[in-house]
Amino acid sequence: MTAPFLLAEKLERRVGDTQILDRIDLAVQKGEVVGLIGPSGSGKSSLLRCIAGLDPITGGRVLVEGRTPTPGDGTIGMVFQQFNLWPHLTAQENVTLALRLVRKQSRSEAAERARTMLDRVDLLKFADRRPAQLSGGQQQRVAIARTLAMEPRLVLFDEPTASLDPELTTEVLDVIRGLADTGMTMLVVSHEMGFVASVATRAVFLDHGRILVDGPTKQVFRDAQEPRLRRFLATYLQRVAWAPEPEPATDNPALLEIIENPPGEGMPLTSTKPGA
Amino acid sequence: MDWSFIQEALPPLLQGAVATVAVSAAAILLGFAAGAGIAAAATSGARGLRAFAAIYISFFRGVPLLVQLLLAYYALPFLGLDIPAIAAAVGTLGLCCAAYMAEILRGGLAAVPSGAIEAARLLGLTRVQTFIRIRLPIAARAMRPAIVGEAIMIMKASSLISLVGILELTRASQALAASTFLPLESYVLCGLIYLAINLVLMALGWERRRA
Repeated sequence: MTAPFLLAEKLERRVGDTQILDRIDLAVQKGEVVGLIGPSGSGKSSLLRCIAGLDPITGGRVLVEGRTPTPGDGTIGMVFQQFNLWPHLTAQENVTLALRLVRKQSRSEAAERARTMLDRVDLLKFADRRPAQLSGGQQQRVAIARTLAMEPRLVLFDEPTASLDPELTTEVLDVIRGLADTGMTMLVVSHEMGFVASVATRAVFLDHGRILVDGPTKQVFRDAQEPRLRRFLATYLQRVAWAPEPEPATDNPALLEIIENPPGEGMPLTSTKPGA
Repeated sequence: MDWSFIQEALPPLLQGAVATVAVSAAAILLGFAAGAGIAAAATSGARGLRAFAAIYISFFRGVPLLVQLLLAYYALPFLGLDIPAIAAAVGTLGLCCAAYMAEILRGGLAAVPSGAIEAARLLGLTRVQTFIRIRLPIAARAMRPAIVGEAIMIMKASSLISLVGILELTRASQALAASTFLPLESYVLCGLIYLAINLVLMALGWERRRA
Protein backbone atom coordinates (compact mmCIF):
# COMPACT_ATOMS: atom_id res chain seq x y z
CA MET A 1 0.00 0.00 0.00
CA THR A 2 1.34 3.40 -0.93
CA ALA A 3 1.92 6.06 1.69
CA PRO A 4 -1.39 7.79 2.43
CA PHE A 5 -2.08 11.19 0.92
CA LEU A 6 -3.20 12.56 4.27
CA LEU A 7 -2.00 11.06 7.48
CA ALA A 8 -3.05 12.12 10.95
CA GLU A 9 -1.17 10.27 13.65
CA LYS A 10 -2.15 10.28 17.30
CA LEU A 11 -3.55 13.73 16.73
CA GLU A 12 -4.42 15.41 19.98
CA ARG A 13 -5.92 18.73 20.86
CA ARG A 14 -6.50 19.71 24.43
CA VAL A 15 -7.65 23.08 25.72
CA GLY A 16 -7.27 23.34 29.47
CA ASP A 17 -8.88 20.24 30.87
CA THR A 18 -10.96 19.57 27.80
CA GLN A 19 -9.80 16.85 25.47
CA ILE A 20 -11.12 18.03 22.12
CA LEU A 21 -9.33 15.47 19.97
CA ASP A 22 -8.10 12.26 21.51
CA ARG A 23 -5.34 10.39 19.62
CA ILE A 24 -6.96 10.55 16.22
CA ASP A 25 -5.47 8.21 13.63
CA LEU A 26 -6.70 8.82 10.13
CA ALA A 27 -5.15 7.88 6.80
CA VAL A 28 -6.75 9.12 3.59
CA GLN A 29 -5.73 8.01 0.12
CA LYS A 30 -5.65 10.30 -2.86
CA GLY A 31 -9.07 10.72 -4.42
CA GLU A 32 -10.94 9.49 -1.38
CA VAL A 33 -13.99 11.39 -0.20
CA VAL A 34 -14.30 10.99 3.55
CA GLY A 35 -17.50 11.94 5.33
CA LEU A 36 -17.01 12.93 8.95
CA ILE A 37 -20.17 12.42 10.98
CA GLY A 38 -20.99 12.66 14.63
CA PRO A 39 -22.89 14.72 17.15
CA SER A 40 -22.18 18.41 17.74
CA GLY A 41 -19.11 18.82 19.91
CA SER A 42 -17.69 15.47 18.84
CA GLY A 43 -14.61 17.13 17.35
CA LYS A 44 -15.41 16.93 13.62
CA SER A 45 -14.78 20.59 12.94
CA SER A 46 -11.80 20.65 15.29
CA LEU A 47 -10.27 17.78 13.37
CA LEU A 48 -10.59 19.73 10.11
CA ARG A 49 -9.22 22.88 11.71
CA CYS A 50 -6.25 20.99 13.12
CA ILE A 51 -5.52 19.36 9.77
CA ALA A 52 -5.70 22.79 8.12
CA GLY A 53 -3.41 24.24 10.77
CA LEU A 54 -5.95 26.80 11.95
CA ASP A 55 -6.07 25.32 15.45
CA PRO A 56 -2.85 24.24 17.15
CA ILE A 57 -2.46 20.56 17.99
CA THR A 58 -1.12 19.50 21.33
CA GLY A 59 0.10 16.10 20.26
CA GLY A 60 0.67 13.86 17.27
CA ARG A 61 1.22 15.08 13.74
CA VAL A 62 -0.43 15.76 10.41
CA LEU A 63 1.24 14.93 7.11
CA VAL A 64 -0.01 15.69 3.62
CA GLU A 65 2.05 13.90 0.98
CA GLY A 66 4.65 13.30 3.64
CA ARG A 67 5.04 16.92 4.66
CA THR A 68 3.57 18.95 7.49
CA PRO A 69 1.21 21.43 5.84
CA THR A 70 1.19 25.04 6.98
CA PRO A 71 -1.80 27.34 6.45
CA GLY A 72 -1.45 29.12 3.14
CA ASP A 73 1.12 26.83 1.56
CA GLY A 74 -1.43 25.93 -1.10
CA THR A 75 -1.85 22.30 -0.04
CA ILE A 76 -5.17 22.57 1.73
CA GLY A 77 -8.29 24.49 0.83
CA MET A 78 -11.15 24.89 3.23
CA VAL A 79 -14.82 25.76 2.89
CA PHE A 80 -16.49 27.05 6.03
CA GLN A 81 -19.99 26.84 7.46
CA GLN A 82 -20.24 30.65 7.49
CA PHE A 83 -18.76 30.98 3.96
CA ASN A 84 -16.26 33.60 5.22
CA LEU A 85 -16.39 35.64 2.06
CA TRP A 86 -14.87 39.10 2.23
CA PRO A 87 -17.88 41.43 2.35
CA HIS A 88 -16.14 44.45 0.82
CA LEU A 89 -15.20 42.62 -2.38
CA THR A 90 -17.35 41.38 -5.25
CA ALA A 91 -17.69 37.68 -5.98
CA GLN A 92 -15.04 37.94 -8.66
CA GLU A 93 -12.69 39.97 -6.47
CA ASN A 94 -13.09 37.39 -3.71
CA VAL A 95 -11.70 34.84 -6.13
CA THR A 96 -9.01 37.01 -7.73
CA LEU A 97 -7.46 38.45 -4.57
CA ALA A 98 -5.35 35.44 -3.63
CA LEU A 99 -4.57 34.68 -7.27
CA ARG A 100 -3.08 38.15 -7.59
CA LEU A 101 -1.39 38.48 -4.20
CA VAL A 102 -0.24 34.91 -3.69
CA ARG A 103 0.01 33.51 -7.20
CA LYS A 104 1.21 36.86 -8.54
CA GLN A 105 -1.07 36.52 -11.53
CA SER A 106 -1.70 39.57 -13.68
CA ARG A 107 -5.01 41.36 -13.37
CA SER A 108 -6.38 39.87 -16.57
CA GLU A 109 -5.02 36.40 -15.88
CA ALA A 110 -6.63 36.33 -12.44
CA ALA A 111 -9.90 37.73 -13.75
CA GLU A 112 -10.07 35.08 -16.44
CA ARG A 113 -9.38 32.29 -13.95
CA ALA A 114 -11.95 33.72 -11.54
CA ARG A 115 -14.60 33.85 -14.23
CA THR A 116 -13.87 30.27 -15.21
CA MET A 117 -14.24 29.17 -11.61
CA LEU A 118 -17.43 31.19 -11.08
CA ASP A 119 -18.81 29.66 -14.24
CA ARG A 120 -18.10 26.21 -12.84
CA VAL A 121 -20.35 26.95 -9.87
CA ASP A 122 -22.86 28.58 -12.23
CA LEU A 123 -22.44 32.09 -10.83
CA LEU A 124 -20.73 33.95 -13.65
CA LYS A 125 -23.75 36.21 -13.96
CA PHE A 126 -23.25 37.41 -10.39
CA ALA A 127 -19.50 38.03 -10.66
CA ASP A 128 -19.92 41.71 -9.86
CA ARG A 129 -22.18 41.26 -6.85
CA ARG A 130 -21.03 41.58 -3.32
CA PRO A 131 -21.69 38.78 -0.84
CA ALA A 132 -24.56 40.71 0.78
CA GLN A 133 -26.35 40.69 -2.56
CA LEU A 134 -26.14 36.91 -2.89
CA SER A 135 -28.15 34.13 -1.26
CA GLY A 136 -26.44 31.88 1.25
CA GLY A 137 -26.14 29.10 -1.29
CA GLN A 138 -24.65 31.45 -3.85
CA GLN A 139 -22.19 32.78 -1.28
CA GLN A 140 -21.09 29.28 -0.43
CA ARG A 141 -20.59 28.50 -4.11
CA VAL A 142 -18.44 31.62 -4.46
CA ALA A 143 -16.45 30.44 -1.44
CA ILE A 144 -15.96 27.07 -3.12
CA ALA A 145 -14.85 28.78 -6.34
CA ARG A 146 -12.42 30.93 -4.34
CA THR A 147 -10.94 27.84 -2.72
CA LEU A 148 -10.71 25.78 -5.90
CA ALA A 149 -9.14 28.63 -7.87
CA MET A 150 -5.99 28.11 -5.82
CA GLU A 151 -5.85 24.44 -6.86
CA PRO A 152 -5.53 22.88 -3.41
CA ARG A 153 -4.51 19.22 -3.23
CA LEU A 154 -6.99 18.53 -0.44
CA VAL A 155 -10.28 20.31 0.27
CA LEU A 156 -11.88 20.37 3.69
CA PHE A 157 -15.59 21.14 3.97
CA ASP A 158 -16.68 22.21 7.44
CA GLU A 159 -20.46 21.82 7.55
CA PRO A 160 -20.79 23.67 4.24
CA THR A 161 -24.58 23.56 4.28
CA ALA A 162 -25.40 23.84 7.97
CA SER A 163 -26.59 27.44 7.67
CA LEU A 164 -28.58 26.93 4.47
CA ASP A 165 -32.19 25.93 3.88
CA PRO A 166 -32.84 22.62 2.08
CA GLU A 167 -33.12 24.17 -1.37
CA LEU A 168 -29.87 26.11 -1.07
CA THR A 169 -28.29 23.04 0.50
CA THR A 170 -29.05 21.09 -2.63
CA GLU A 171 -27.33 23.56 -4.94
CA VAL A 172 -24.20 23.53 -2.77
CA LEU A 173 -24.17 19.76 -2.41
CA ASP A 174 -24.48 19.39 -6.17
CA VAL A 175 -21.31 21.43 -6.58
CA ILE A 176 -19.46 19.28 -4.03
CA ARG A 177 -20.79 16.15 -5.67
CA GLY A 178 -19.42 17.36 -9.01
CA LEU A 179 -16.08 18.01 -7.38
CA ALA A 180 -15.99 14.49 -5.98
CA ASP A 181 -16.47 13.19 -9.51
CA THR A 182 -13.28 14.94 -10.59
CA GLY A 183 -11.25 12.83 -8.16
CA MET A 184 -10.53 15.59 -5.67
CA THR A 185 -9.49 14.37 -2.24
CA MET A 186 -11.97 15.73 0.25
CA LEU A 187 -12.95 15.60 3.89
CA VAL A 188 -16.55 16.60 4.42
CA VAL A 189 -18.08 17.32 7.79
CA SER A 190 -21.81 17.21 7.30
CA HIS A 191 -25.07 16.48 8.99
CA GLU A 192 -26.59 15.63 5.62
CA MET A 193 -26.58 11.88 6.07
CA GLY A 194 -28.10 11.25 2.66
CA PHE A 195 -25.37 13.30 1.07
CA VAL A 196 -22.61 11.58 3.02
CA ALA A 197 -24.13 8.23 2.10
CA SER A 198 -24.19 9.08 -1.57
CA VAL A 199 -20.93 10.98 -2.06
CA ALA A 200 -18.45 9.79 0.56
CA THR A 201 -16.47 6.68 -0.23
CA ARG A 202 -15.75 6.34 3.43
CA ALA A 203 -17.48 7.42 6.61
CA VAL A 204 -15.84 8.26 9.89
CA PHE A 205 -17.92 8.57 13.04
CA LEU A 206 -16.53 10.70 15.83
CA ASP A 207 -17.73 11.06 19.39
CA HIS A 208 -16.04 12.90 22.24
CA GLY A 209 -12.93 13.57 20.19
CA ARG A 210 -12.38 9.95 19.21
CA ILE A 211 -12.93 7.99 16.05
CA LEU A 212 -15.41 5.27 16.96
CA VAL A 213 -16.15 3.91 13.50
CA ASP A 214 -14.20 4.20 10.26
CA GLY A 215 -15.06 2.27 7.14
CA PRO A 216 -16.62 2.20 3.68
CA THR A 217 -19.73 4.38 3.78
CA LYS A 218 -22.27 1.67 2.96
CA GLN A 219 -20.84 -0.61 5.59
CA VAL A 220 -20.80 2.10 8.24
CA PHE A 221 -24.42 3.00 7.60
CA ARG A 222 -25.70 -0.52 7.11
CA ASP A 223 -23.97 -2.57 9.77
CA ALA A 224 -23.96 0.14 12.40
CA GLN A 225 -22.77 -2.18 15.14
CA GLU A 226 -21.26 0.45 17.36
CA PRO A 227 -24.01 1.38 19.87
CA ARG A 228 -23.24 5.09 19.89
CA LEU A 229 -23.39 5.22 16.09
CA ARG A 230 -26.67 3.30 16.10
CA ARG A 231 -28.21 5.84 18.44
CA PHE A 232 -26.84 8.68 16.37
CA LEU A 233 -28.22 7.34 13.10
CA ALA A 234 -31.53 6.48 14.73
CA THR A 235 -32.09 10.11 15.71
CA TYR A 236 -31.68 11.06 12.06
CA LEU A 237 -34.16 8.47 10.97
CA GLN A 238 -36.61 9.76 13.50
CA ARG A 239 -36.75 12.93 11.52
CA VAL A 240 -37.76 11.13 8.36
CA ALA A 241 -41.55 11.24 8.44
CA TRP A 242 -42.13 7.58 7.69
CA ALA A 243 -39.90 6.28 10.46
CA PRO A 244 -42.17 6.12 13.52
CA GLU A 245 -39.70 4.88 16.15
CA PRO A 246 -35.99 5.19 16.66
CA GLU A 247 -34.67 1.83 15.61
CA PRO A 248 -31.44 0.22 14.58
CA ALA A 249 -30.32 1.37 11.17
CA THR A 250 -30.28 -2.11 9.70
CA ASP A 251 -33.94 -2.71 10.45
CA ASN A 252 -35.06 0.40 8.71
CA PRO A 253 -36.22 -0.01 5.14
CA ALA A 254 -36.01 3.72 4.47
CA LEU A 255 -32.32 3.93 5.21
CA LEU A 256 -31.58 0.67 3.43
CA GLU A 257 -33.30 2.05 0.40
CA ILE A 258 -31.11 5.11 0.46
CA ILE A 259 -27.96 3.10 0.97
CA GLU A 260 -28.81 0.83 -1.92
CA ASN A 261 -29.94 3.65 -4.19
CA PRO A 262 -28.18 6.81 -3.14
CA PRO A 263 -29.95 9.96 -4.24
CA GLY A 264 -28.39 11.35 -7.37
CA GLU A 265 -28.51 14.98 -8.28
CA GLY A 266 -31.71 15.48 -6.35
CA MET A 267 -32.61 16.36 -2.82
CA PRO A 268 -30.51 15.19 0.10
CA LEU A 269 -32.18 12.80 2.47
CA THR A 270 -32.48 14.96 5.52
CA SER A 271 -33.20 18.62 5.93
CA THR A 272 -30.89 20.89 7.88
CA LYS A 273 -31.68 21.71 11.46
CA PRO A 274 -35.05 23.40 11.66
CA GLY A 275 -34.65 27.16 11.71
CA ALA A 276 -30.98 26.94 10.83
CA MET B 1 -31.40 90.89 11.44
CA ASP B 2 -29.50 93.92 10.25
CA TRP B 3 -27.85 93.25 6.93
CA SER B 4 -25.07 95.68 7.68
CA PHE B 5 -24.31 93.67 10.81
CA ILE B 6 -23.76 90.51 8.80
CA GLN B 7 -21.51 92.39 6.42
CA GLU B 8 -19.49 93.58 9.34
CA ALA B 9 -19.54 90.31 11.23
CA LEU B 10 -18.79 87.77 8.55
CA PRO B 11 -15.15 88.58 7.74
CA PRO B 12 -13.83 88.14 11.31
CA LEU B 13 -16.07 85.14 11.92
CA LEU B 14 -14.99 83.41 8.74
CA GLN B 15 -11.39 84.10 9.65
CA GLY B 16 -12.10 82.46 12.98
CA ALA B 17 -13.79 79.57 11.21
CA VAL B 18 -10.71 79.00 9.08
CA ALA B 19 -8.65 78.80 12.28
CA THR B 20 -11.19 76.41 13.82
CA VAL B 21 -11.09 74.13 10.80
CA ALA B 22 -7.29 74.23 10.59
CA VAL B 23 -6.80 73.54 14.30
CA SER B 24 -9.41 70.76 14.30
CA ALA B 25 -8.09 69.15 11.13
CA ALA B 26 -4.58 69.10 12.58
CA ALA B 27 -5.89 67.68 15.86
CA ILE B 28 -7.97 65.01 14.11
CA LEU B 29 -5.03 63.91 11.94
CA LEU B 30 -2.76 63.83 14.98
CA GLY B 31 -5.47 62.00 16.89
CA PHE B 32 -5.89 59.42 14.17
CA ALA B 33 -2.17 58.76 13.82
CA ALA B 34 -1.51 58.68 17.55
CA GLY B 35 -4.71 56.71 18.08
CA ALA B 36 -3.50 54.06 15.63
CA GLY B 37 -0.29 53.82 17.65
CA ILE B 38 -2.19 53.56 20.93
CA ALA B 39 -4.51 50.93 19.46
CA ALA B 40 -1.47 48.94 18.32
CA ALA B 41 0.00 49.26 21.82
CA ALA B 42 -3.30 48.23 23.39
CA THR B 43 -3.38 45.02 21.36
CA SER B 44 0.35 44.25 21.42
CA GLY B 45 1.85 41.26 23.16
CA ALA B 46 4.02 43.43 25.38
CA ARG B 47 2.51 43.95 28.79
CA GLY B 48 4.23 47.34 29.23
CA LEU B 49 2.76 48.69 26.01
CA ARG B 50 -0.71 47.48 26.95
CA ALA B 51 -0.40 49.12 30.36
CA PHE B 52 0.74 52.37 28.75
CA ALA B 53 -2.23 52.32 26.38
CA ALA B 54 -4.65 51.64 29.22
CA ILE B 55 -3.31 54.51 31.31
CA TYR B 56 -3.21 56.86 28.34
CA ILE B 57 -6.79 56.09 27.34
CA SER B 58 -8.05 56.36 30.92
CA PHE B 59 -6.38 59.72 31.47
CA PHE B 60 -7.46 61.42 28.26
CA ARG B 61 -11.00 60.07 28.43
CA GLY B 62 -11.32 60.60 32.14
CA VAL B 63 -10.09 64.19 32.57
CA PRO B 64 -12.15 67.02 31.05
CA LEU B 65 -10.60 68.44 27.90
CA LEU B 66 -10.75 71.95 29.35
CA VAL B 67 -8.72 70.81 32.35
CA GLN B 68 -6.26 69.13 30.00
CA LEU B 69 -5.90 72.39 28.07
CA LEU B 70 -5.34 74.38 31.23
CA LEU B 71 -2.79 71.81 32.40
CA ALA B 72 -0.94 72.07 29.11
CA TYR B 73 -1.15 75.85 29.22
CA TYR B 74 0.30 76.12 32.72
CA ALA B 75 2.31 72.94 33.09
CA LEU B 76 4.44 73.13 29.97
CA PRO B 77 6.03 76.52 30.84
CA PHE B 78 6.44 75.26 34.39
CA LEU B 79 8.41 72.33 32.98
CA GLY B 80 10.53 74.79 31.06
CA LEU B 81 9.09 73.87 27.68
CA ASP B 82 8.64 76.92 25.49
CA ILE B 83 5.88 75.77 23.18
CA PRO B 84 3.60 78.26 21.45
CA ALA B 85 0.08 78.27 22.89
CA ILE B 86 -1.41 77.23 19.57
CA ALA B 87 0.83 74.17 19.36
CA ALA B 88 0.03 73.19 22.93
CA ALA B 89 -3.66 73.57 22.20
CA VAL B 90 -3.57 71.53 19.00
CA GLY B 91 -1.40 68.94 20.69
CA THR B 92 -3.75 68.55 23.64
CA LEU B 93 -6.80 68.38 21.41
CA GLY B 94 -5.06 65.79 19.22
CA LEU B 95 -3.84 63.66 22.12
CA CYS B 96 -7.32 63.64 23.62
CA CYS B 97 -8.78 62.71 20.24
CA ALA B 98 -6.20 59.89 20.03
CA ALA B 99 -7.62 58.22 23.13
CA TYR B 100 -11.07 58.01 21.54
CA MET B 101 -9.68 57.07 18.12
CA ALA B 102 -7.66 54.27 19.71
CA GLU B 103 -10.83 52.78 21.18
CA ILE B 104 -12.67 53.11 17.86
CA LEU B 105 -9.83 51.49 15.92
CA ARG B 106 -9.28 48.73 18.44
CA GLY B 107 -12.97 47.88 18.55
CA GLY B 108 -13.41 48.10 14.79
CA LEU B 109 -10.47 45.82 14.05
CA ALA B 110 -11.52 43.37 16.74
CA ALA B 111 -15.00 43.17 15.26
CA VAL B 112 -13.78 41.84 11.91
CA PRO B 113 -15.03 38.23 11.79
CA SER B 114 -12.20 35.80 12.45
CA GLY B 115 -13.46 33.64 9.59
CA ALA B 116 -12.61 36.34 7.04
CA ILE B 117 -9.06 36.37 8.38
CA GLU B 118 -8.79 32.58 8.53
CA ALA B 119 -9.92 32.33 4.92
CA ALA B 120 -7.19 34.78 3.91
CA ARG B 121 -4.61 32.86 5.90
CA LEU B 122 -5.50 29.53 4.30
CA LEU B 123 -5.41 31.05 0.83
CA GLY B 124 -1.84 32.15 1.46
CA LEU B 125 -2.11 35.88 2.11
CA THR B 126 0.63 37.21 4.39
CA ARG B 127 -0.25 38.90 7.65
CA VAL B 128 0.43 42.33 6.16
CA GLN B 129 -1.63 41.58 3.07
CA THR B 130 -4.44 40.28 5.23
CA PHE B 131 -4.35 43.40 7.36
CA ILE B 132 -4.31 45.84 4.45
CA ARG B 133 -6.60 44.05 2.01
CA ILE B 134 -9.05 42.32 4.35
CA ARG B 135 -9.04 43.50 7.94
CA LEU B 136 -8.64 47.23 7.45
CA PRO B 137 -11.28 47.68 4.72
CA ILE B 138 -13.84 45.57 6.58
CA ALA B 139 -13.14 47.46 9.81
CA ALA B 140 -13.17 50.83 8.04
CA ARG B 141 -16.75 50.37 6.90
CA ALA B 142 -17.82 49.61 10.43
CA MET B 143 -15.76 52.39 11.99
CA ARG B 144 -16.64 55.21 9.64
CA PRO B 145 -19.68 56.52 11.56
CA ALA B 146 -17.74 56.48 14.83
CA ILE B 147 -14.73 58.22 13.29
CA VAL B 148 -16.91 60.91 11.73
CA GLY B 149 -18.64 61.32 15.08
CA GLU B 150 -15.31 61.78 16.80
CA ALA B 151 -14.23 64.31 14.16
CA ILE B 152 -17.40 66.29 14.81
CA MET B 153 -16.79 66.15 18.55
CA ILE B 154 -13.28 67.54 18.06
CA MET B 155 -14.54 70.25 15.74
CA LYS B 156 -16.92 71.38 18.49
CA ALA B 157 -14.46 70.80 21.32
CA SER B 158 -11.98 73.08 19.59
CA SER B 159 -14.16 75.95 20.86
CA LEU B 160 -12.56 75.29 24.25
CA ILE B 161 -9.17 76.48 23.09
CA SER B 162 -10.61 79.99 22.96
CA LEU B 163 -10.24 79.90 26.73
CA VAL B 164 -6.47 79.63 26.50
CA GLY B 165 -6.35 82.68 24.27
CA ILE B 166 -6.41 81.29 20.77
CA LEU B 167 -8.38 83.19 18.20
CA GLU B 168 -10.79 80.83 16.51
CA LEU B 169 -14.48 80.90 15.72
CA THR B 170 -15.81 81.02 19.27
CA ARG B 171 -13.36 83.65 20.40
CA ALA B 172 -14.00 85.69 17.27
CA SER B 173 -17.70 85.62 18.11
CA GLN B 174 -17.02 86.72 21.67
CA ALA B 175 -14.95 89.62 20.39
CA LEU B 176 -17.64 90.51 17.92
CA ALA B 177 -20.34 90.40 20.59
CA ALA B 178 -18.28 92.65 22.81
CA SER B 179 -17.52 95.21 20.14
CA THR B 180 -20.97 95.39 18.55
CA PHE B 181 -23.07 94.86 21.68
CA LEU B 182 -25.05 92.30 19.68
CA PRO B 183 -24.30 89.03 21.51
CA LEU B 184 -27.38 87.17 20.31
CA GLU B 185 -26.73 87.88 16.64
CA SER B 186 -23.04 87.13 17.06
CA TYR B 187 -23.61 83.74 18.65
CA VAL B 188 -26.40 82.80 16.24
CA LEU B 189 -23.99 83.36 13.36
CA CYS B 190 -21.28 81.50 15.22
CA GLY B 191 -23.55 78.52 15.77
CA LEU B 192 -24.66 78.48 12.15
CA ILE B 193 -21.05 78.40 10.96
CA TYR B 194 -20.26 75.47 13.27
CA LEU B 195 -23.37 73.74 12.00
CA ALA B 196 -22.35 74.27 8.36
CA ILE B 197 -18.87 72.86 8.99
CA ASN B 198 -20.24 69.81 10.78
CA LEU B 199 -22.91 69.17 8.16
CA VAL B 200 -20.07 68.76 5.68
CA LEU B 201 -18.44 66.25 8.04
CA MET B 202 -21.72 64.40 8.52
CA ALA B 203 -22.15 64.15 4.76
CA LEU B 204 -18.78 62.39 4.62
CA GLY B 205 -20.15 59.85 7.06
CA TRP B 206 -23.24 58.95 5.10
CA GLU B 207 -23.24 55.45 3.77
CA ARG B 208 -22.69 55.46 0.07
CA ARG B 209 -25.48 53.59 -1.66
CA ARG B 210 -24.27 50.60 -3.58
CA ALA B 211 -25.07 50.64 -7.24
